[in-house]
Amino acid sequence: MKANLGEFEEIVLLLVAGQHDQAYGLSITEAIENELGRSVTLSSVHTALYRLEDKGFVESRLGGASPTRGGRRKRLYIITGPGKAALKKTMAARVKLWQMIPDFVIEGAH
Amino acid sequence: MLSKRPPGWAERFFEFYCRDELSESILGDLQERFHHDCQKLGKMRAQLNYCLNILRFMNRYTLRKTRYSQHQNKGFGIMLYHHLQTAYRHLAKHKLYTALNIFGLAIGLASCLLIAKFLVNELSYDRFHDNTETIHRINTHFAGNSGALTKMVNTPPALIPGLGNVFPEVEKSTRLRYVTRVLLEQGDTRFYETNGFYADSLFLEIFSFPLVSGSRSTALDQPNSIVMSEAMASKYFGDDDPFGKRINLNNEVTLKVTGVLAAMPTNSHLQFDFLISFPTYEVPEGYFSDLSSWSWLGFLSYLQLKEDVDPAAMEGKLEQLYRDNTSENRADYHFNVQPLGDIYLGSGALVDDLASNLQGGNPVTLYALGIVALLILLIASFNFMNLSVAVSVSRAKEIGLRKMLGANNGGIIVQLLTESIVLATGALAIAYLLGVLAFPYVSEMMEWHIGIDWTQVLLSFPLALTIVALLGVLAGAYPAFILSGNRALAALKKDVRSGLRSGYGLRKLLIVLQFSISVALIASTIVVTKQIAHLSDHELGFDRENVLIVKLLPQDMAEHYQTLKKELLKKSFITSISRGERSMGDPWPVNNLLVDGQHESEVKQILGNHVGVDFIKTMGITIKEGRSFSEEFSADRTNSIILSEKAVDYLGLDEPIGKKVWYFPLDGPRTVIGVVEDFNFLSLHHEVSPMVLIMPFIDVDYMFVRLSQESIGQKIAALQAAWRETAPGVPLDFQFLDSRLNKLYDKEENLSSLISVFSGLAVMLACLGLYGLIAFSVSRRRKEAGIRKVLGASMISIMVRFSRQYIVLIALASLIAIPLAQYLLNYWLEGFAYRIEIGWWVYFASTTALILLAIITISHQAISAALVNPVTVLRDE
Repeated sequence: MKANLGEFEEIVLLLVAGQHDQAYGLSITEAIENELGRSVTLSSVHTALYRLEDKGFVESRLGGASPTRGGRRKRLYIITGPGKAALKKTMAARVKLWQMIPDFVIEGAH
Repeated sequence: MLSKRPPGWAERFFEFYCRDELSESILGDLQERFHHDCQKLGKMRAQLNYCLNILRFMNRYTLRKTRYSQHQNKGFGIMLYHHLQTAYRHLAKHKLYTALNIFGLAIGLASCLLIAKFLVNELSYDRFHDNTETIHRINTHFAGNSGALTKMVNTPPALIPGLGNVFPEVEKSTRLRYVTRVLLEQGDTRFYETNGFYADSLFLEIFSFPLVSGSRSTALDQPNSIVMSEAMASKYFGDDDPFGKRINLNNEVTLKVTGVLAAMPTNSHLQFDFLISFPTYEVPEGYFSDLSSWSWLGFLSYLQLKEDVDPAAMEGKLEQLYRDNTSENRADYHFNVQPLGDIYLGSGALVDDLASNLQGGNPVTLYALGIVALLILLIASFNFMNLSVAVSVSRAKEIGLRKMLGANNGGIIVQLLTESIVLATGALAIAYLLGVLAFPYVSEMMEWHIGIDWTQVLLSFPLALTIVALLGVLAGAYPAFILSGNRALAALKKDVRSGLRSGYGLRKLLIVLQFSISVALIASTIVVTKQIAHLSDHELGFDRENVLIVKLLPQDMAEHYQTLKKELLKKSFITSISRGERSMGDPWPVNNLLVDGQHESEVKQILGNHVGVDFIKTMGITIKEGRSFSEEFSADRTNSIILSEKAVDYLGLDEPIGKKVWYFPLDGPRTVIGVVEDFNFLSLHHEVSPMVLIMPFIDVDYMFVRLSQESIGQKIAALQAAWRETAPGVPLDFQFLDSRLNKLYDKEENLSSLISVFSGLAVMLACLGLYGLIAFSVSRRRKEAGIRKVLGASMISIMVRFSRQYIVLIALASLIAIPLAQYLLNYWLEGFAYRIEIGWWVYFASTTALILLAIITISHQAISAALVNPVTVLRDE
């Protein structure tokens, strides 16, 4: 599937990869809030996850019920091959653009 | 800890809307979050956040899919394309029904569009003025001692100046006096002009008639000023700019052009080519009245009120003003303040004493047309529904197959509705085309004097489209729901009978309704036409044939009348000549009469006309007692009066001849020299009134010429030649009396031709629908006809069998329609003083005509059914 990765989707996908097999809606929401200091609603993270699943970048399974969840299972996500490729592609694009910046622009004058 | 639970109702709401496969994980996440929040923010905030999140989750990923949208969601465009394609194939397969359906509906819609345009135009009268809401006209009502209330649009000349300082609620006011006939002259160009007013200076400030040049506020201020239309100006000044130019009036005064009017909007109750400033007006000699009069009802008065003034509250004050200024103690005198917006349609009961070209519409026509439009739309819609239902039955198999392949009810409903909407929209497009093409002819035939307004056409589009889409849905709904509800297996079985039966009751009902409407319309057409004919043939009490009315300028009349009369009477084809102030067909003015010796409070109001010697002979009025005016009695000129029979009764005279009667405002009594039989000089909407004739003491401008009976065409030419010889330079501007009288029934004739045309259309549409239905039913019953023939049925018996049910339906329809039509027609007839009786034959004829039409419609198909070759139709069994 030839799909692009939006900025928010990229963050969610990175976190799915980082929390391998333990990533679910709330864990990613909290990671975004804690690690990036960015306020985000649960529903937008879920929506991003469904969209990523539609694009084939993640796969999900149900599991990991707990009493705090009222005995309900989580939808746990892992990254797929195309997901990894998409991440690498964006990473490469970023690095390439970073390398085009002359050193003094960022390192030099403040 | 675990006792803290999120609100259960929110959870249930979520489960209601969310798809099952996502619901568990999301609710889990939400509850976990709720616990965190409880610890960090407290229970209240946690619950609030929970609820907000439940709402935030509502999006296209989480919402449950309906069964239908599961299929449609991704490929809506594709499905729509598919629906349109099958719709096209289906319609192309049933060309006859498609054509009947589309054209039937298109004709119906086009009629409605035309009628709507007319109605919109009628309702738009006088709305173009900036001050429409605050402009009012003052009308005079008086009862007289006969008790009958007379309502006039005319008011005395002193009224407007008298408003002065007494009426703070009046912003501006103006008077109009109609121009009888003036001669305008500029260089070599001379024309008689009649279509104008003398107008007070504020007239153009109150009314927003468009001006090309000149100032609204000053154009009519000075004496001897004229404001004229562009068309009129180009008659006198050619291409020159008329502004500031001079023009001669009646060879007496020179007027200065102080303004030029743009084309007059046709939707104005005041229509004029020119306005002359009021101070220019001089009261003609012999009127015994002047502009300070409070009793001379000869002017139109308009007010522009301040905002929020209650016009009804002014009426009492106006009456007080009248009583303060006049010595006559007339308690029956009332002033009515009529809003400008009501004038055009609301003046039917008002008399205009001055015959001053005021436009008036007839609300009855509007209602009648509105109803007819609605009925046509109903018939066309019923046709559309009927044909749709009938034809869709043949698709039961297709639908069954679709269902086998997995289509659900929703999909099939959408498909059938798409078809029906496409059809209706197509019909609308054709309707607009038809409407635009037919409009100029209809407009001319009905004398609407309006053109197509393309912005209006564009603006009507959304509304028309909505109505038609709704119609499409309604027409499509029945078959759609019936067919989609059938079980696939039943539909696939060859069950022709059940197919024919479905929707049968509805179809019958619709046919009955359609034909009820048709019967009612045919009956109305007959009655309206008969009534109009009755009016124009009714005995008027005088001989309307072969009389010419010639209009002359007062000075020409004074100078040439006697010579013309003497010379023309030498011609053998001219039997009699006379003259008068008013013609037959004009309203006659009201006069005050008092029998000599009675007290002044016994004054009676009677219509009167100033006429010359031989008037009674020329008009063919019958003398009952006494004699006519004569040259031999010089006293006739000043001291004689002729009464009608009703006037004799009204005045309460026993032996009228020789009695003396005071005719105000003349001094001295007049002797009754004759009594004539009653005659009806005005339209037969009105009863014959009491009336009197006296010889003229003012300038009169009508000349009446009676010709002998045969070959009128040649006589006109001979008359013109003789006229030119006797009075060169005096124009012979004539009109036939009977055509002038017929003009009084123009409105009814228009109504009658409109109703005829549209009832014709409606009946045609109903027959079209009937044809489609029977064609369809015959096509489904060919096999039955074949079997019957094989078993020995005759052609006739098959024809009868196939058509009799429709005849029964039409008979039933008549039974419903007759009482309704009877009621409505009687209501309409009550507006006439002389009316026809509606005989039973009217309904009999309408029903018979309709049944005959239906038989003709059906016969083609019935014959084709009777002619089937059993071998062909039964081969595949």
